[in-house]
Amino acid sequence: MWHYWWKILSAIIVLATIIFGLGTPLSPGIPAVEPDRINNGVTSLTIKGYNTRFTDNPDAIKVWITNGDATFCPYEKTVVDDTHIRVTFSVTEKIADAFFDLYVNTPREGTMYLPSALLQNGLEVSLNPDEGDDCISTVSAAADAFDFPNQPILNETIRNVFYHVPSWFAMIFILVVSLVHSVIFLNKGNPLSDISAANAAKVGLLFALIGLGTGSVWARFTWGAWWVNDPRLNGAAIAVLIYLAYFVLRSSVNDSEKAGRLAAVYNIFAFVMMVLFVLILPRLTDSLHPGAGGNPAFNQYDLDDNMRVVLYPAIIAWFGMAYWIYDLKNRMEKMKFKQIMKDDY
Amino acid sequence: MITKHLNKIIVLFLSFLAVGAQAQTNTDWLENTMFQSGKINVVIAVLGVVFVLITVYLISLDVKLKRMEKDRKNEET
Repeated sequence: MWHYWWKILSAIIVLATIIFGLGTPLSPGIPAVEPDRINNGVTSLTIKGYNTRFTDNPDAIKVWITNGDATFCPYEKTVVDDTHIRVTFSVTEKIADAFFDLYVNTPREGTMYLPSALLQNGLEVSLNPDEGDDCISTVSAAADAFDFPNQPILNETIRNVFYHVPSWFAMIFILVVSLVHSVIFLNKGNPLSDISAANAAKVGLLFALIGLGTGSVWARFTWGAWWVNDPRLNGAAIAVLIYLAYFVLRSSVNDSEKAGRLAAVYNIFAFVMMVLFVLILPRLTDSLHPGAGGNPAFNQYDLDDNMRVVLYPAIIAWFGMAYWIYDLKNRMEKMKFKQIMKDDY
Repeated sequence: MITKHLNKIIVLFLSFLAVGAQAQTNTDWLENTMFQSGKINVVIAVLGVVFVLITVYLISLDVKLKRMEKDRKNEET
């Protein structure tokens, strides 16, 4: 039983990342404001909070909107309930941009921020606008609690980081396994290495499909479409096609010795292309994905510390799960191969 | 084995297609479900995708293993 330990450990860690990934609360935030435009003159708005408790200390709540350098304060503010505030703004001054950013500061939740919350409607846009009121409180952080950041648009879906990102890591890991077996095959010429390489690539394809599927669902409800022309998405699709060509090549040559050699050489090429299309090219251009010009999963500005605590174990655990699935498939195919060999001689 | 159940599979597939078509004409339902409560249902859907794809893979592995076992049995007899 002892050699099962890493499989059981991986499964337990995956379960733990599901429990902690779903169970940890989201920090308070402002997902929306209605209506989302501000008129010349008086505008009444309803600010919606998420996981907020506005009624705790309604008098201490500060609300302001900014436009360029200018700040505007509401002249009326009513806390409706824990998640709703009604505010009335009177804006007649010249402004710098089309969009206003919204800030809400409370003693309990700290400063919550909704960028581009309001679109101007009938206001005069000027290069040198007048400075507005100065009612802002100092920007403060929420009281220490173990929670995940509440990002505009993303909201609760930020948890998908624990289930979408590790599948790509698992794919890269299992394709490295495939690459290693291909190199061993080229050195030693043992057909079992060729079988291992092909099986690892197949499991890699499974995790690529999981990554594409989860990403597609996530994109539909945050970016608005099942597929967007993002360099990282197109790169991943090209990588999948490159690996599909590996299977076509491997099965299209009748002589198994020759097929193995061709496939192993192509696999090395495919791995390099995968690294290029999935890891390098998307970082050189603007992308909807985080981390253009850096390592998103390891960069201190792209990932919250509390999320790291769940994401890193999830990545390790999915390495284990990927290797487990590969191991099952590999043992089966090797057994089949040995059976065929026995029958032939 | 699969050919025996082929008509059942086709019926199942068509019924899924019909449900899918229904959902297509009524995307409001989908959007309303997904956008409520801070989009938490998107996370559930993503977990569902992971689970379904791994399960489909395991089933295909199972089918292959079954075929191997069958071949071996036939050779022995």
